[in-house]
Amino acid sequence: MNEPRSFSLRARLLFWAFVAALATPTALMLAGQGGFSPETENRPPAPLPTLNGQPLREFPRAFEAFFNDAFGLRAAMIKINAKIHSRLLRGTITPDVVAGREGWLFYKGEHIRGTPQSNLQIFLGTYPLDSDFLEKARRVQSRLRHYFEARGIRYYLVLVPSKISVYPEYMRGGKPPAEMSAIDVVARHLQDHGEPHVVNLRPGLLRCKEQAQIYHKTDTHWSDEGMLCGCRLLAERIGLETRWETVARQAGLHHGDLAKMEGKSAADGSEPTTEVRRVPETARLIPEDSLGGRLAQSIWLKDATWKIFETPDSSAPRLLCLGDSFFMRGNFTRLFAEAFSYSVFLWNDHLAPEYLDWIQPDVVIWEVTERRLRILADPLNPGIPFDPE
Amino acid sequence: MVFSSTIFLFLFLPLTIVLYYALPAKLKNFLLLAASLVFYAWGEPLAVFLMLFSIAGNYLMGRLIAWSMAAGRAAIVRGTLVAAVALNIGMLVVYKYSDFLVFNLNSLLDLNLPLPNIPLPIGISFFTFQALSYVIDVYREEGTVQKNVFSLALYISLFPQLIAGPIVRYRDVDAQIRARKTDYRQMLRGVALFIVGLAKKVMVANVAGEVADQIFGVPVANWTGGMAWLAVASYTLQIYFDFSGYSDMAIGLGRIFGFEFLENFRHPYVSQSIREFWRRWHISLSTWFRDYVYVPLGGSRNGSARLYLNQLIVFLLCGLWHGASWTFVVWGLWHGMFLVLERMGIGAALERAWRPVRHLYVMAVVMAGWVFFRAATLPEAWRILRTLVGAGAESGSGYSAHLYLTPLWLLTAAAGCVACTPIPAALAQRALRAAPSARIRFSLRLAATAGLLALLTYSAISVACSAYNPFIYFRF
Repeated sequence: MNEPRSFSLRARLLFWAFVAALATPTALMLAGQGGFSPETENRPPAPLPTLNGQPLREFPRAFEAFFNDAFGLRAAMIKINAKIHSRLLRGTITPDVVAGREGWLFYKGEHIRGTPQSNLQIFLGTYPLDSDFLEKARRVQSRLRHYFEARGIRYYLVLVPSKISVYPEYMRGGKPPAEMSAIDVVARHLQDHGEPHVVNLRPGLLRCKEQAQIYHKTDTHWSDEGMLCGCRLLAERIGLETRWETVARQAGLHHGDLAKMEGKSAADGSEPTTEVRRVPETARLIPEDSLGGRLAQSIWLKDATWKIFETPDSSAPRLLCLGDSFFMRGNFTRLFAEAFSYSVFLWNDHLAPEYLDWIQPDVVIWEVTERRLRILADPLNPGIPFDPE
Repeated sequence: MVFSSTIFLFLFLPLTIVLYYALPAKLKNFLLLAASLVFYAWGEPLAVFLMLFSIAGNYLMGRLIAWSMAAGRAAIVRGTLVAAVALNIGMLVVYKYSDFLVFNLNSLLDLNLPLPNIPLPIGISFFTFQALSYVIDVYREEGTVQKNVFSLALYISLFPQLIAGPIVRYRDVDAQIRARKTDYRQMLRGVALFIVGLAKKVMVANVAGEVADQIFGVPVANWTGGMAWLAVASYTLQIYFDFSGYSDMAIGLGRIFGFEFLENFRHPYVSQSIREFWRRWHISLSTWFRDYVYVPLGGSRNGSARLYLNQLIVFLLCGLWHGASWTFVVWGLWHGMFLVLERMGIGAALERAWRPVRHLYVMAVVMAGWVFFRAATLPEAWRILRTLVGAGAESGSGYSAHLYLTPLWLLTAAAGCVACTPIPAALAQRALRAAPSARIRFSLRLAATAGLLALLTYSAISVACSAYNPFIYFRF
């Protein structure tokens, strides 16, 4: 076999420059200059695997996961790609995010193999709502209502619309909000079949939308204005005394979760927003590391993500609220807690019955976002033990 | 491992190149063999043993054929060849077609046999055909028997063409495995081809593929005519740029390591007939079938009827080679049918037709064929074809092509339509020839190098972004 001959210095230089360019990300990684950003990816980086403790056949996949998170120039390359896509091509780098009109971003919904993503189904009016699902959901709600009624607790199922069913006009191929979205179909079915405790926030939010921007452009969730609207709608429906008549507004910046998914840092991906606080603000957050917080964590709440608030008004009702990110992220809990003497918010769909003994709630709320409506048919949600029918 | 992954691009490839050129000549083949086994085992840790079994079996049978031929034992020669073919085809049947066979047996005979569910080893169709090529070439005395098992292992497992071709025939690389020349100009041509192939894959195939996947993910009952056209057009772009991109990368990598593989795609979408299409599409596969199936069946030597039958058999097998499903069988027969029709007279009529009409005919046949190739079932393919011509039921589901038509897709489709013709290369050649001075020629070459650098940079960025995996909520 002949060794390569040097026909020209230029060819030799170009060839080795190509090899060096390809090797640069690995070299930087070895030099400790990796490029993972937990802020934008919302997860910890994959660890460097070892050959001990796992089957050899799993090593390549584990190492590749580590390498994919650790190679050098990663963050810079992702940022450049995000800029090219958002500024030049008006697209996104994450397949789960759709770039709509005027800078609006939409989350398509969680991946379930073989089915279109849920928010997309909501937009298209194809969210699967057959009679079997609706009947199962009604049965679950009926059982829950009876369970709480027997204990003298007021129970409400609160349905929060997806951004895509409130602002579909900003979606690619946009159109005005549908008269009946998936959330309306479910709410109406439950209400028409003897379950009056269902609170559908969509009609009220569509009215509020005329007054203010109630969802963030670059986030899955509602803005503070949307949260305030949600609090007022709930107060009216549940019959709370607090109505958030006086609020203070101040301009701020919001670094949306979808902007983060698109690789945008707070500096270049934040959108202007209006921060809203009730005046006077009386709810006090019990810190997780306080004695009460630690006790709650160790005895009752275990692995759940939670927030507990107290207000000086001991005559106000006590609240236990289960829900998802719409209630748990941002300022919603702080705003809503103003209406209660003691309120516990759990980022969870599963309720342990012993919570009721501990919290002694007057009101229980289970909040479900529109794109997660499917869980309503799951008899294990929330985790109340039911007597068999 | 795939070429368009970060681990290959940023770690495996540069490391292999550096080690290859750092080692003395006598160790280079061992290094390539070790790298190829790691490359294969990375994705298929257990399947590598199947490949090693194939290598050992074909090595022993090749040696036995050569020894028997030298000893004049014709019966042993024929028996060993039959055994070798049975071994290779048997492996393919067990690993690729057993579920298909059992499923159809169950349907046909009303049985309830359990499906074997054997995982398909990646690249088995390619390395099995290469192994068959080796023993048949030895039998036909068109290649010298390989006495060094490591060299045969390198031929069968060589990583550039291992998982997506081109199917390299033993007689074409026999001499190169034993001794090959490398020089920096050839290596640079390899680099250029690799970059072009990578760009084809990540900049066109992946973008078009994402749209095709999204639409094919929607139940066909909800498709509109626009969606059907968009899906089929996207898939037409995806399959060409994906496959030819991989081939270009493989040929380019081969050159980097001193091998010269034959061209596998020659602008098939500019063809004027289906016959021409198959002289331009996956050339290594069609020539493999020509040399190892069509010619032994008698080719065109036994009259027209036998020729038509031979062509249909070859294309039925070609379809089945692509996948164990009736959709692939129909795809193969679809092409076989048009080849036969062209031989029966349509071809002559086509030659007299206006050039755009011939082109439209080819694209219509090819795109309709891709519907069978991509659809999950034959009824789904039929429904897509009906939707394409406006005969599908309007679902009123709210889906529309607008949902998938992004500026990126439009840009990609426009670039893809130009890049799948020979026009860009011809323009570049013409500009070089017409350059009035050496200085201008140098400037043009510099511009081409800058263009390649831009393609590499953007492709690398796209590959890096494939490692970007954000979660909206880690806890859900």
